[in-house]
Amino acid sequence: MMKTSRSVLEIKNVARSFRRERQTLQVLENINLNVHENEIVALLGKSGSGKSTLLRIIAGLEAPTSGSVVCNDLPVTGPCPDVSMVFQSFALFPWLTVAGNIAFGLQALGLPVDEVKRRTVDMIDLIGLSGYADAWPKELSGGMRQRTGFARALAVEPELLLLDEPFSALDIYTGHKLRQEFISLWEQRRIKTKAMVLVTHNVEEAVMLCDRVLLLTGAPGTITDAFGIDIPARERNAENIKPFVDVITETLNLKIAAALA
Amino acid sequence: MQLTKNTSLWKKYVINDVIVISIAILLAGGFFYGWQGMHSYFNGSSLPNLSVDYRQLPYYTLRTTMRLCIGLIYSMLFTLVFGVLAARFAAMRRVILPFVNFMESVPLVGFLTFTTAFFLGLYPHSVMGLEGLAIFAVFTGQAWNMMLTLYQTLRVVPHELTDVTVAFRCNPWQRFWRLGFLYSFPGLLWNTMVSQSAAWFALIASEMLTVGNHSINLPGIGSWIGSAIDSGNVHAVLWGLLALVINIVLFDQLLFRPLVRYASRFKYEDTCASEKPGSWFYSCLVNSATGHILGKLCASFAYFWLFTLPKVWYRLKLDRLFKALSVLNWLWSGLWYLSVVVSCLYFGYRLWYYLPLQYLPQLPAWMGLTAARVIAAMLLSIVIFTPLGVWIGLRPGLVRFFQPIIQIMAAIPSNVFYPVIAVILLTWHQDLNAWTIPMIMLGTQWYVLFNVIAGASVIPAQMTDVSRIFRVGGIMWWTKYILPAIFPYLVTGIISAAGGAWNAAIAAEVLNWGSTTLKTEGLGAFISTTTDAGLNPEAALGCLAMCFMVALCIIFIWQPLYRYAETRFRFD
Repeated sequence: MMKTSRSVLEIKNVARSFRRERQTLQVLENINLNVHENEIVALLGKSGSGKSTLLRIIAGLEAPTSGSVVCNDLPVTGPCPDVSMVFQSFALFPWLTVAGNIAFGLQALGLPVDEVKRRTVDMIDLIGLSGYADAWPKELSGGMRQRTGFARALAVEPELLLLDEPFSALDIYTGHKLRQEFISLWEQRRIKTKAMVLVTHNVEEAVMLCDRVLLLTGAPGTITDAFGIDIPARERNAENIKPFVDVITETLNLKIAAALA
Repeated sequence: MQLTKNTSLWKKYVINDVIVISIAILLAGGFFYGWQGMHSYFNGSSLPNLSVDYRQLPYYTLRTTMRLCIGLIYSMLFTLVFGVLAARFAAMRRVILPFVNFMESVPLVGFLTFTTAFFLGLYPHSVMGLEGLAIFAVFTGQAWNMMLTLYQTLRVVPHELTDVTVAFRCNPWQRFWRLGFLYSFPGLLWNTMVSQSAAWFALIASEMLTVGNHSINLPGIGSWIGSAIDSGNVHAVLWGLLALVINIVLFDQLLFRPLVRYASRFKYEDTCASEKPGSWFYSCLVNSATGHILGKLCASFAYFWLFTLPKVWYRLKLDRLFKALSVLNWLWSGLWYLSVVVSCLYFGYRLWYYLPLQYLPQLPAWMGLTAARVIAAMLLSIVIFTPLGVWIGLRPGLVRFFQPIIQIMAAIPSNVFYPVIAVILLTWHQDLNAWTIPMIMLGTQWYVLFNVIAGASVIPAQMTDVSRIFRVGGIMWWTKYILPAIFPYLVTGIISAAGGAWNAAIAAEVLNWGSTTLKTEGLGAFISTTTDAGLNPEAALGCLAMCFMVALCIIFIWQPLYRYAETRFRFD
């Protein structure tokens, strides 16, 4: 994969702690991470390792206790227009139709009505939701709901897309299909997103999708290992990613066992 | 080290025991004293006049509290029996639900007059007859709301939990007490607390009764305040209010707080709430020997209730009897429907000849006036208190600060403020007509505020994240995000407010302060003047007209609105 030097996201010495009942709980410590253009990075760890917290810090939903996050050369102090997010449980508004949900972000940008409509329709076609524009989220299957979630996040054409376990609420087949379709959109450059950060606990998914896999382990959590996946994305299959999956799984198990001991 | 720790723990136990036992003795003594007062002699026409001595006020408070407690027990019994019947039998449900829905919003204060004869006949020569009436008023204030809550939560008990009880072969009795009841308990408790204000409203209104041509004051805070208002005594009104607030706070601290704290374990949720509701009395009980003994007693009672009682039932072969009877289900439901229809027809016929129909031409105008006031009051409450509720509800710190205050404010029945408004109106020579709207609002606003706060504070975190990530602001934030998110709660709030609003309209359209009376045109004024004058047929006509409007509102506005909110706006 060709890598340009430009960083979409720069994280320096980020730490995060919570105060609960008079004691401080350190969740993240000493996080340093650069995400370059045309790169997908996976954050892998067991539940409670702080990976979702890190994602929320990147999104500007939470402030780090110390350290800095820079996105597109601008420091992140709150949710910024260059970042968008896909949620594990879809987080669709039940009172808006599929089209309404997709238009939500565009309307918030203050775009003219025609423009919102045009881009919504484009996105519905692109993401494979044709015919479902006027359906309510309740009437959709899990896969269709997450398509809407993807369409809503992509409609605002974010530079950086954050994926919070986007396939883990779907069954294996649906998740697999959606993943493949999404990655081919990315490969064909049909979406304008420049980089992505994926949070998951599924090693295979991380290796299939990403160029770099980072392990977030320990308490407080920090990035302990990094693996570069040097097979071109379109050539990856169950066979040739197996060595990567094995190594990463083993490392992860060792780290978790060490933390328990 | 260990020893000192033990002794300090021991000391804490002793202190807790002293607190718990002294409170228990106080409560028992108070109960006994009040019970005697409730059964004292009544000659059928008048009671000794209320004393204006402030030292008597604690005793009056005690009597009022007794009524409240007994009313609460009856409401609970009603809730359990009818909630379960409605949840289990479709034929019963079809009659119970519309009836209770209707009763919930019907102006029951107006109806109380008609039950006087019944209760006086039940306990001749005893104050208990009048007490029964006041207790019935408390019952009508809260029972419907509680029953609906139990019914609704029983219907949504998660299937997998029901499956577990079936898989472990629990009998229906155990299934209800170990799953259905516990599952609905937190919600039931919360609704009981919220409907306390309705109970207080009814109680205050019913302690001053009219029997025939005599007005009778039951000893209690309500009649204390009432007679203070009649004599225009500001100091006495303030003392009464103070006693009322203290009473509400005590009730909250000694009964509801500990129960809420205890019930927090029955909440069905995945995430562990970071903060549990606290209660000093509960922790006193838990850390005392008395509490431990009580806990043991309760545990053995629970065992008896759950396991020994059903055995008796099965030994008597009652289950087979009921199984045999249930074969003829179509017959029972047919008979049930038939009896309901026949009794409706019979009472309709009787009513038609009882009512003074010469008032009919005037009624529509009065109905329109009162309806306009009620609607205006509700719209105003929504417009003012929705933004306030959202503002509070989105800030957990503020919610924790305001919730107890709002609870107490909501429990103070709005009719005690009316005289204050009467004084203001008299001082500035205002017309009562428009001023009834803020007076009705005094009762409705709390429901709106309560529910909006509840709705805003339970918006799923991810939805908030979405709205922040897309940086929604301004009008779009209101129309596309916050208003839809709280909409079901807002609707619930308005529906419960509506019932109170009609009741309030009866009290608000005629104001008394000392010897002066302020009056305006309207159905509420018609009902309260005819009730005061002891004109029962006229009062009945007024109440029926109001019921008619309430029914119209339920069928054409609330039910469609509620169903719309349920289907479109619920997070799932």
